[in-house]
Amino acid sequence: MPLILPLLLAVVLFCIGVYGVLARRNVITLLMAFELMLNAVNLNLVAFDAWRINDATGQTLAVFVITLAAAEIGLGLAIVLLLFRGHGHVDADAARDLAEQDDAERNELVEQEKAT
Amino acid sequence: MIATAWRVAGVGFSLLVVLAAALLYGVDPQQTKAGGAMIGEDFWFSYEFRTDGLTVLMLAVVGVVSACVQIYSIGYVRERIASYTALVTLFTAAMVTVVISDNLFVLLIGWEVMGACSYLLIGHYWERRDARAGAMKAFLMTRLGDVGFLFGIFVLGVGYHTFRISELGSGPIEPRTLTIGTILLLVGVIGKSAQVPLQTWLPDAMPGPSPVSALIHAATMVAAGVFLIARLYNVFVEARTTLTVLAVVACVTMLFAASCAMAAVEVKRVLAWSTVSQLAIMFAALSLGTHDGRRAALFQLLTHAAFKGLLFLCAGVLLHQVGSAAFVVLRRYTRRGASRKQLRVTFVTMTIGLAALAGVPGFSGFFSKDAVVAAAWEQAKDGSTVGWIVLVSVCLTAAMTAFYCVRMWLWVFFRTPALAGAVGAFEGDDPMADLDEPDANKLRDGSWLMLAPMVLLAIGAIGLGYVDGVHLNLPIALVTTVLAVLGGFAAYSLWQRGADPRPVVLEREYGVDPAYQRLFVVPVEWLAKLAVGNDRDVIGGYVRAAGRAGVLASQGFRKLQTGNVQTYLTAAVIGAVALAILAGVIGS
Amino acid sequence: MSESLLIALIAVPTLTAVVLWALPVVTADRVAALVGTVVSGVLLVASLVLWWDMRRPHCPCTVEAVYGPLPRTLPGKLTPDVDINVPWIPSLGVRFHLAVDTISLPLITLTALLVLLCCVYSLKITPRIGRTRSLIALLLVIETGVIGAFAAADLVLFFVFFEIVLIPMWLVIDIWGDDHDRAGRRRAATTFILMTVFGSALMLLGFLLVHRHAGTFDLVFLGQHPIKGGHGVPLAAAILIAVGLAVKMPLWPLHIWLPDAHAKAPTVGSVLLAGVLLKLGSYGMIRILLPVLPDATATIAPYLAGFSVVAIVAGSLACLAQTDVKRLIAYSSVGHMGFIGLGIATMSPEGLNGALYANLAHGIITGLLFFLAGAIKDRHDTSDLRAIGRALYARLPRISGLLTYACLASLGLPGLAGFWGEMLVLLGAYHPADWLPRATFIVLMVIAGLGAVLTAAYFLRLIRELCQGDPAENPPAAFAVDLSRIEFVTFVPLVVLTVFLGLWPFTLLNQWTFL
Repeated sequence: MPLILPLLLAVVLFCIGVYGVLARRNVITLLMAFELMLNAVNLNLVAFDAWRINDATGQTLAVFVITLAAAEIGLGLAIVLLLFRGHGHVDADAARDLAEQDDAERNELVEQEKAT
Repeated sequence: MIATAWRVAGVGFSLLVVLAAALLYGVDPQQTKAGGAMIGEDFWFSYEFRTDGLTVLMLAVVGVVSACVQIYSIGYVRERIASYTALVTLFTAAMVTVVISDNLFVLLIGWEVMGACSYLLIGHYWERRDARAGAMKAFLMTRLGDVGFLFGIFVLGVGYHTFRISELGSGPIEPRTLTIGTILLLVGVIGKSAQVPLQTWLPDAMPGPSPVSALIHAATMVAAGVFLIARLYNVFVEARTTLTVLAVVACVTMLFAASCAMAAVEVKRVLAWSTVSQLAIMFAALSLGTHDGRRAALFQLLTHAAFKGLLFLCAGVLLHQVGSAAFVVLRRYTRRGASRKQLRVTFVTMTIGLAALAGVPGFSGFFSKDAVVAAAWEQAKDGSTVGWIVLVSVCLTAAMTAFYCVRMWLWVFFRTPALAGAVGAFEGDDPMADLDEPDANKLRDGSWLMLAPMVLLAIGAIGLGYVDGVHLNLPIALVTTVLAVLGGFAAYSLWQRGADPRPVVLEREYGVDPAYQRLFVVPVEWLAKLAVGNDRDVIGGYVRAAGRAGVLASQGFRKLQTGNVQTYLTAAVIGAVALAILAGVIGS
Repeated sequence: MSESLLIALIAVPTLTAVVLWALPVVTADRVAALVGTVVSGVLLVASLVLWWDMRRPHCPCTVEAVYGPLPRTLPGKLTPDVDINVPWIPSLGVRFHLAVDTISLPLITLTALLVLLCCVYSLKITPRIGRTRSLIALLLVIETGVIGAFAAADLVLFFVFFEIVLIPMWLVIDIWGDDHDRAGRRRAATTFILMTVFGSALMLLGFLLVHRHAGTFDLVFLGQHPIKGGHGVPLAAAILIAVGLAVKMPLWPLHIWLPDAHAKAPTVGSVLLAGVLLKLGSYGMIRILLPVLPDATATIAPYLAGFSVVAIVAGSLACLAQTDVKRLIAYSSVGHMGFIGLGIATMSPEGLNGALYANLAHGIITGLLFFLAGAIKDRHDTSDLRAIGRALYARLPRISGLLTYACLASLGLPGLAGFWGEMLVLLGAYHPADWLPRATFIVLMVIAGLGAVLTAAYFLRLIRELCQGDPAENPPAAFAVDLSRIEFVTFVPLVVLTVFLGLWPFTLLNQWTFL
C-alpha cells in the first residue's frame, strides 16, 4: 500500500480534530476532537513504521499514545464533570474564570463572594 | 554675664587694633604668610598679610571708631547684647582682615564677612519690617557687586599669574585684560560703597542700630571700597579707562546723593545720603590718578570717619531719647530750645560734626575737601577733562552739603520764627500735629559711656584737619567757603520762612527703587514661579507620563488574557503554522 | 593593615545590621541606636586612621618626597594607595578590586561621619513610627554601599555598590517618611527608586560599552590606558555614563525626584541622601568619566556645563518660590550640585579641586541644614513655612541662629566651607582646560555667578520668612524646646568643620594634585 493513503487519512483526521478543538463550544466535543488528533498521530506512527523501519517502534509508541489518551480522557472528563457541577454547563466559551478582569469587576466578585 | 564678657572682649579687641596700629607706626613694611596650596600648575593660594603706611592708617581708623562704637553700645543696646557685640567684633575683625591682607582671596573673605555682619546687624531689630527688608537688600546688592569683584580677581589674578596684592601691577599684562579686571573690581567697590547704580541699600539700611550705622559708615564696609582702590592704586592708575568710569560714577553719585539728602526728612537718612556723597568725593579724588588725589582721598576718609561716626552716634542719642529721628518728631521738642538745653552735649557735638561735614573753615572736613579740590585743580589746570568734571562736581556738592547740613541743624534744634508757615513743612496733611507739645523734660543726655565716644570723635572732627599739616590754598579755600555759605544761606532763608520745599523727584530719590523693583525683583519672582511650574508641569509631566505609559501598556496586555481556551489555542496554532512557514521560507 | 581596615569599613556595617536583625525585636530596638553609634564611631576612626596612614611618610623614603610637591596626575585618575584585588567573576572579567586614594578617602570619612551623626541623633530622636532597629540597620547598609562605591576600582563592583544603596534608601523614605502623608511618601520613594534605577541602567550600558572597547572593567588599568577618541562608541559610552550619574547627582532636568524624596524622607534619611548619596554621582563623574574617557568627556563637557548652569539658576529660582523648608533645602542642593557639575565640566585642576571641595562642603553644610530643618519640623509637626509662622529668633533662638549660620555657609560666604568650592569652580570656568571653548565657559561663569546671587536671595528669604518677624504675631508654642543636648552634640561637629574647612582649605586642597 502506498504511504500516501494513510498519511492523507491522518491529515484529514488531524484537521477535523483541529477544527473541532478550535471551533466547537461543547467541551465533550473538544475532548473527542483531541482523540481524533491523537489517533491521526497514531496512524502516522504506524504508517511510517510499516513503510521504512519495520521494527515495531512506531507500534510501540502508538500503544503508549493510546494509553496516555485513555488517561487524558479520564482527567478531561473529570474536569468536564467539575465544570458542569460548578457552572451548570459544559460550554468552553462561557468558562472564563481565568480571564483578566478590570479592578471594578474583581471587587464586585469579591463582594459577591463575601455576601454568599 | 555672657553679655559682659562679650562687651569686654569687643572693647578689648578694638583697643588691641589701636595698639597694633600704634606699634606698627613707622615700622618698615613687612609681609608674612601662612598655609598655602598649589592648585594646578598656575595658581598659588595662601594666607598672606602685610603692613605698611596705609594699613596703619586704616587700622587706627578702624580701631578708634570701633572702640567708640563698642563703648557707646554699652549704653545704647538693651536687648540681644551678646549676639550684637559678637557681631560688631566680628565686623571689626573682618575689616582688619581686609586692611592687612596681601592676597585678593583673603581680602575677599574679610570683604564678604563684612557684608554678612552688616546684614545681621542691620537686621538687629528683626521685629521691624523695614529692618528686615533693609538688611536683605543690603546683603543682596553688595553680593551682586561682590560677584563682579570675584570675577575681577579672576581676571587680574590670571592676567598677572598671582593673587598676591603686592605683586599685582608688576609684570606684563594686556591692557584689555587690565581694563576689564579693574572695571569688574570696581563693580564690587560700587556695591560695597553704595555708589550709583547700587546706592539704594545704604539709606534703607538705616533701621539698624545707630552705632552700627556709625561703624558701617565711618570705618568699615563702605570705607573698604575706598581702601581697596587706594591699595591697588598702582593697578588702577595703569587703567585710565577704569579711572574715567570711576570719575563719572563718583561725580554722578555725589550730586545724586547730595540732592537726595537735601530732601530727606529723617536725620539718619540725611546722614546716609551724605555718606554716599562723601564717599563719592573720595572716589572722585582717587579717579584723578595722581598721588595727590590718593592722599586727598585718604585724608577725606580719615576726617569723614571721625565726623560721620560722631554724627551717627548723635543721631543715636536723639533716637534713644526721642524715639524717632524724623524731623517731624524732633521739631516738636524745639520749643523754647528744649532739646538744645536738655541734650547739651549732643547738641554741641552734633554741631561740630555738621560743621565738619559742611566744610566750615577750621573744621576737619574743610581741609580734606579742599585737598580734594586742590588735587582736582592740579589736574584741571593741565586741561584734563576728568579733572574739570571732578572739580565742578565737588564744588557743587560742597554747596549742597552745606545746604542739607544747615537745614538739618536748624530744623532739628531750632524753632522756626515763621510759626504759621512751619506747620505743614513736614507734617504733610496734618496741620494739628505741631500743636501737641510733648514732654521735653524727660530728655536726658545719655550716660557718660555714650557721651565719651562722642566727645572723643568731636575732638577728632576738629583736630584731624591739622594732622597732615595745614596746606591751605587760599583761592580754593575762598571759593569753597563762598559756595558753602551760599548753600547754608539758602537753607537758612528757607527755614526762616518756615518752608521746606521738597521736589517730588528728590523725595522719591529719583524713583530708582521702584524701578529696580519692577526691573529685577518682579521678573525674578516671575521666573521663580516659572521654574516651579516647569518642574511641576513639564519635567514632572514627563516623569508622570512615563509612569502612566507603563500602566497603560500593562492594561493593554491584560486585555489579551481573555480566559477563553480556544482563543489561546488558535493563537498557538497560528503561531506554529507561521513558524513552520517561516522555517520553510528560510530553509529553501 | 590598611587592607583589612578597608575591608572592615565595608563589611562591618552590614554585619552589624545582620546582627541587629538577628536580635529579638524589643532588645534590638532599645540598643540599636547605641550599637549603631559605637560601630559607626569606630568606622569613622578607622577611616581617619586609613587617611593618616596614606599621608604619613612610608619608609624608606626621604621627607621631601612626601612633603614636597606631590606628583601631578591626570584629573580623577586612580592612583591606588590601598589595593585589594581578587578575581570575582572570572568569566566576565570582573574583579573584586578595591582601592582608595586622596579623592575617595575624604568622601569615605565624610560618609562615616554623617552616619555616625545620624546614629547619635537617633539615640534620642527617632521618627514617630519607631522600628529603630531596622532604621539603624538600613543606615548601616547604606554606609556599606556608599563606602564600597567610593572604594571600588572596578566598574561592575562600583555599579553593584551603587545599587546596594538604593533599596535601603527606598525603604527609609517609604517606611519612616512623613507620617502625615502616606501616599505622598510612597510616591516620593517610588519616584526616587525608579529614576535612579533608570539612571544606573544607562550607566551600566555605558560600562558595557567601555568593556567592549577596552576589554576590561578595571579602573586602574583604564586610568593608565584611557580610551581615546571623542566620537562613536566612546562618545556613546560617555553620554550614557554621564546621564546615568546625572540622575543621581542630580542635574537639571533629571532632578525631579530629589525635592519630593527629601521633603518626605525622615531627618536622617534626608541628611544621608543629601550629604552622601548625591556625592556618588559627582564622584562617579570624576572617577570614571574624566580619566577613562577623556576625549569623549571633552566632547560632552560644554553640554554638561550648560546643564549644570541651568541647574544652578533653575534650582535657585525654584527655591525662591518654595513654601516648604525641606523642599527649599532640597532645591538648594540642585543648585549646589550644579556648581559641582560645572567644576567637573571645566576639566581643569581648579575646577576639579573646586568640585571635590564643594562635594565635601555641601555634604557637611546641607547635612547641617537638614538636621536643622528636621529639628524645626519635629517641633511644629510640619515643614510648611506658613504653618510654622515667623519670628523663630524669638521662639527658638539657638536653632534659628544655627539655621542662619548654616544658610550663610550654604550661600558661599567666604570664610566658611561653601566658599572655596564655589570660588574654585568659577575660577575653573574662567580658566578651563585648553581643549574646551573658553568663551562658552566664561558666559557660563557669569550666569553661574548670578546664580550665586540668587542663592543668597532665597536663603535670605528663608531667614526672613522663618527666623525674623514680629514675635507678637507669632507667639511661641507651649512645647517648643530650644536646642536639646543631643541636637547640640550632633550639630557641633558640622558647625566646627564648616568653619575649619572655610578657614583652612589647604590641608585638603593640597591632596588633590592634578595636571
